[in-house]
Amino acid sequence: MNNMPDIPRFHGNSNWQAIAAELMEPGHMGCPGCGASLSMRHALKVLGPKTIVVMPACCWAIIAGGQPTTALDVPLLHTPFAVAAAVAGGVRQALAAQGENETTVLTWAGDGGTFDIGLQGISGAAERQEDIIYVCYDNEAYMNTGIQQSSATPPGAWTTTTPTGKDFRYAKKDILAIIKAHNPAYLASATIAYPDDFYAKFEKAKTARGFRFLHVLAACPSGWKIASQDALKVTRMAVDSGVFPLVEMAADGNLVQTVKPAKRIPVADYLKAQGRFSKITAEEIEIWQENVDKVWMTPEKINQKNG
Amino acid sequence: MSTLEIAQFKHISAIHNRDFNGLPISSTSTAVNLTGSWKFFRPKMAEKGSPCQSACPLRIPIAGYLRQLAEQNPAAALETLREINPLPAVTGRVCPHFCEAACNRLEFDEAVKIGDLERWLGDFGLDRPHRFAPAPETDLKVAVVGAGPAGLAAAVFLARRGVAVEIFERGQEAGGLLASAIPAYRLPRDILRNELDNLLSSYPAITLHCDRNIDPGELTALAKEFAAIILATGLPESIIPAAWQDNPRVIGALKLLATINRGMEIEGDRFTVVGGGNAALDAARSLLRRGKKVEIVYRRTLAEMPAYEEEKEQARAEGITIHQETVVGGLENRGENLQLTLCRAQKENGGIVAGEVLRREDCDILVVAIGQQAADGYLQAKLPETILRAGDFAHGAATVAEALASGRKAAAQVWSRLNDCPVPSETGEPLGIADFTRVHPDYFHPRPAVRPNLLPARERRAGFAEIRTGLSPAETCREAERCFSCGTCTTCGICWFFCPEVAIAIAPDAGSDNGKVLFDYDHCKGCGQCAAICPRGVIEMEEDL
Amino acid sequence: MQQEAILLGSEAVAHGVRLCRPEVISAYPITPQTHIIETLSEMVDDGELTSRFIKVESEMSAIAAVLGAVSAGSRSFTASSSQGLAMMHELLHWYAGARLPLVLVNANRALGAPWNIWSDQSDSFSQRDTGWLQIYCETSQEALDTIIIAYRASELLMLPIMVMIDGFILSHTMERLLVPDQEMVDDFLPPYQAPYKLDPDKPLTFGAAAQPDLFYELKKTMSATMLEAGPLLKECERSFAAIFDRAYEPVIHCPEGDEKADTALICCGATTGTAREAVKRLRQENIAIDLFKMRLLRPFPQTELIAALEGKKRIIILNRALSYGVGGTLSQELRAALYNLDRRPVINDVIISLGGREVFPETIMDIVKRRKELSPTASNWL
Repeated sequence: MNNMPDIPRFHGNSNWQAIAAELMEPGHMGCPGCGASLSMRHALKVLGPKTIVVMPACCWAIIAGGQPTTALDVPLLHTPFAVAAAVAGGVRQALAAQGENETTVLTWAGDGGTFDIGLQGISGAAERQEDIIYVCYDNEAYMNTGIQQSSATPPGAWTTTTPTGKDFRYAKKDILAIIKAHNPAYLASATIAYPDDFYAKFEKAKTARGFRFLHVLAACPSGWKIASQDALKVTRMAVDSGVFPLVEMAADGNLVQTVKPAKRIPVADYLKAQGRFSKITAEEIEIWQENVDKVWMTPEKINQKNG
Repeated sequence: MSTLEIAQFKHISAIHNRDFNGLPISSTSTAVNLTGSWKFFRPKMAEKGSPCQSACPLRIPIAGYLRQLAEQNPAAALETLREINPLPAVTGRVCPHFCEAACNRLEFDEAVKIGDLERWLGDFGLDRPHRFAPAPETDLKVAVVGAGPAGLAAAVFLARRGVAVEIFERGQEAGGLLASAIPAYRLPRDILRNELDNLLSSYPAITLHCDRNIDPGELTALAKEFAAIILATGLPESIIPAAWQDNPRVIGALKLLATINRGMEIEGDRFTVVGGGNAALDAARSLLRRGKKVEIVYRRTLAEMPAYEEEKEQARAEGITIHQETVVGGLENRGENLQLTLCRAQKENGGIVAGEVLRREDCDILVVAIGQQAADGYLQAKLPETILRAGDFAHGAATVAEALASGRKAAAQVWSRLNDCPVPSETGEPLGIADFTRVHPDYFHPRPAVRPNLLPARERRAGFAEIRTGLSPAETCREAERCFSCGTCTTCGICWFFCPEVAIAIAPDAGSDNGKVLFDYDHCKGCGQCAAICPRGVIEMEEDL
Repeated sequence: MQQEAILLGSEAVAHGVRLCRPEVISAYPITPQTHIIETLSEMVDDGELTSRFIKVESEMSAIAAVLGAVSAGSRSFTASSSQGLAMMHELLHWYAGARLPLVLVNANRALGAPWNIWSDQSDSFSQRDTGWLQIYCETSQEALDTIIIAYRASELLMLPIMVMIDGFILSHTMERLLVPDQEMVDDFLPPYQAPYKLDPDKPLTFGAAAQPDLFYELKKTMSATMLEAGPLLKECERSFAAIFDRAYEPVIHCPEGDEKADTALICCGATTGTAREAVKRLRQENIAIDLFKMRLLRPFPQTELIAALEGKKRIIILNRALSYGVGGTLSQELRAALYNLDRRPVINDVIISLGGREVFPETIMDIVKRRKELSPTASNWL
């Protein structure tokens, strides 16, 4: 098919059919424009029907629908907040004990369940090299409970518990560095706003064995104070400004950048596109820009920072 | 709980023998939630015109045939193109392509080379007869005077409606200025001939009479024989200032070009061309190719020259001197020579007059290319109102595309008059234009346009070989792929891909334009991302309260 | 065949677990549970047991891992104690609500502060509202047997069962006991066939949010299942006895006691052993006392208890867990159970031990002798 934009496997109808099968149902409870919903839809397209999803408290615990409904056409196990990684490990070990080694066990958790309350369990599962894919869809606050700050909330961002913006002394926790220190089988950041990259990384995660971790930036129109139709655009800006670099762990264990945006945009553009940063000062933007510039795009520098 | 029952487990082992209702287990699709009720806005398909189509005098659905080209279906593309433009091999070469200047891709990286693609497709069609939906035959007969682009277009569009058309051409062959005035290095003779032969043989309803001049005086008689007459006699004569008209060393550019195009010898060695339009450049460059010494005198600056930029650049590359802001203040026959008095152009009362004398110069022939006019007899002729005009004769000198559009329009008007029906709309004006603010090329990557080769200037001067080389089929496909298809749904599926609600279906074969993308309004929450990302600017949000 | 052996209580537990062939074990070490998981680890390393042992980083992850494993259809095991059990608290609720089977062995130990590693029952008693069955064992043999019975009952009920042994008193004490062979256990306990599980071929969602009305209904169903659990457990105990020749009941009358006595002692766990000795000696002093052991705490065996205590005028309850501001937890349970009797006995709430404070036969004899001085309302401390 002609003039197809660079959407994964869109080049030709026959290939398009390859990702046509849906494993997510309409009528889910996600807010309009929800990046987490879209990310799940495509994650499942890559991982396929032989996937079991384990999900702690997070937006998706609601998005997936209340009993007796479910938004997923794969098995889904809801769990308490802190334990999704451990539960997933248990699921995988049970399958292995039953001689089942094909099914992918996917933990699908928000930033609160990953950066904060679930971190210990993730560390344990990573150390044990539990054969699971852990996806943190990061919308940068406790959105499900009404937009409270998490340790994934970027400095300067408004939340209901940071009414004047998160203190600039508290940086967003560097989750990739933390997981990297556990020597995972695969590690990457991704966003569905860069679909090719997203698909490639989920495919790599699917084929790797051991503990695999994907940090997925997912726009939250309500929490970021953006219009629902701008969710993708703003997410792309996060990448294009260097605020959310798309990286993955190479064979040598270092993080390398996988997408170099065609045009780098100022951090200020990204921040100003969102209502949650309305109170950020010019000085703070400058600091942010400098920090991004320091690590921008050279893998060596990202490694220095993370390693 | 109504209909939403927990799934019954039929595979429970016998020892349980229990009712497993009342377990925290779900298996009903969330599709039972009609989340469509959340929305305030809803997406709709609103296909639009593309800026290129809008800029095209013929309103050719460019995006449509480029897409067919990209899909490697040139036969279909040719039909799409010829439905509107019966002479694509010609326009692909000589049209200035306003479409390219309007191309949205210009703001993204560079315009799609629509002209080169049209030319390739035109050449592809040279040995392929025109195909058109057969119309019921009528007993209507229409006369067309002039077999230039306007006359031919009028004839073609009438013939397609089952009307018998007789074309009266005063020259030896069809084509009008295409044949007589456009040099072969821009439009090779064989291409033109093939294009016209193919056209005429495709429409048996058209009869061409060459060497048949129709004097205005004959029109009344003709009107009795034919149901209608369309005059497309063009502006075939160069305007020559009265003071120079009788000078044998002064010649109109059109006449000169016709002579050259017919392959006849030109007397003289040194030529000066007055004027800044395409005819001036064509004349100068043709003379150069005949080994003559030639320079151009133009009263304004180079930038103000109305000739196409490309032509100007090529002329300069070929080594033609252009004297800017210069006018011929006077000329004098001196023996074998013509002495020109070249003066500085001076603005006066909104016009330009000869100012101080710059120098005097000798030449053999002065070529005048300062404008065109109608043929003798038609200049002041008072024509009955029932006779329709088309082309340059109707609207003044314009491009081939405009002439074709005019011919087509005349055909439609004649049809409407003969059938007492409204003028049929052939290219329904689009509801809106998908300009750059409406398309969303976020997921396109910049890709340079093809670069057709130009013959080196030295080789160009040696003869009348076509300057611009054509594209290869592979290049054609690649270049056609660059088209954004602004305003036209290509079922690319980006909306489907980025819908978080699984509420969009793509049905490429659903038929109607609006059926290509289906929105599940029962579940669509109206987030608007499909509209925000639609690369073609087709999807729009409308209120849904 | 049953093999005679002399084993630590923890080892007996490990053998009980081994015989039930769990596919997944997950645990985190805590005194006095550690010998259980050490022994199981050795069994796994020796190949005696083919389980996958997930050595997690906390009790929360331990119970979480088995939650996952059982959801995926594998019989699993975990063990903990005290602080560890408390850390599992959130998951204990979740686990029962998820309607999944499991056997968890808790080595009873006091909860801090201050730190105390010795036995009392406040850790498990404070989990009695989580929806788990609770069975308290007096001996290592009982613990081994109960694990086998509990797996059978749990998988029939689709509810988890907590089996208690007293830390140190049982866990770290050698006892002569019979270890059944695998064939016998296999006859009694078929492999776990999950009636529902995480299965990509039959995708189901577990634990999705329930709206209030539905939640209420789910809990009503769970409560009804819990009420059916008593008879079902008894059924399991009966069929166990038929095969293994050892009988257990929810409320056990100790033969040392005098059935005709109008005063009865009620114990729970290993203290019963001490009480048996005390009652024997009291009989020599011509003091007639009856003795009962509460084996099952959840579901509460109300019918059995009322039948057992028929005609008693005084009940002395030896508590090893306390509900502050009310009294001994076991006493509260019994008070509630006996409230509807036409002729209610006097109930003496005795806090016999906390944090491992030693209980000698004399301690119990002294209480019995002073029974008329005991407060019928307030807690009686030593």
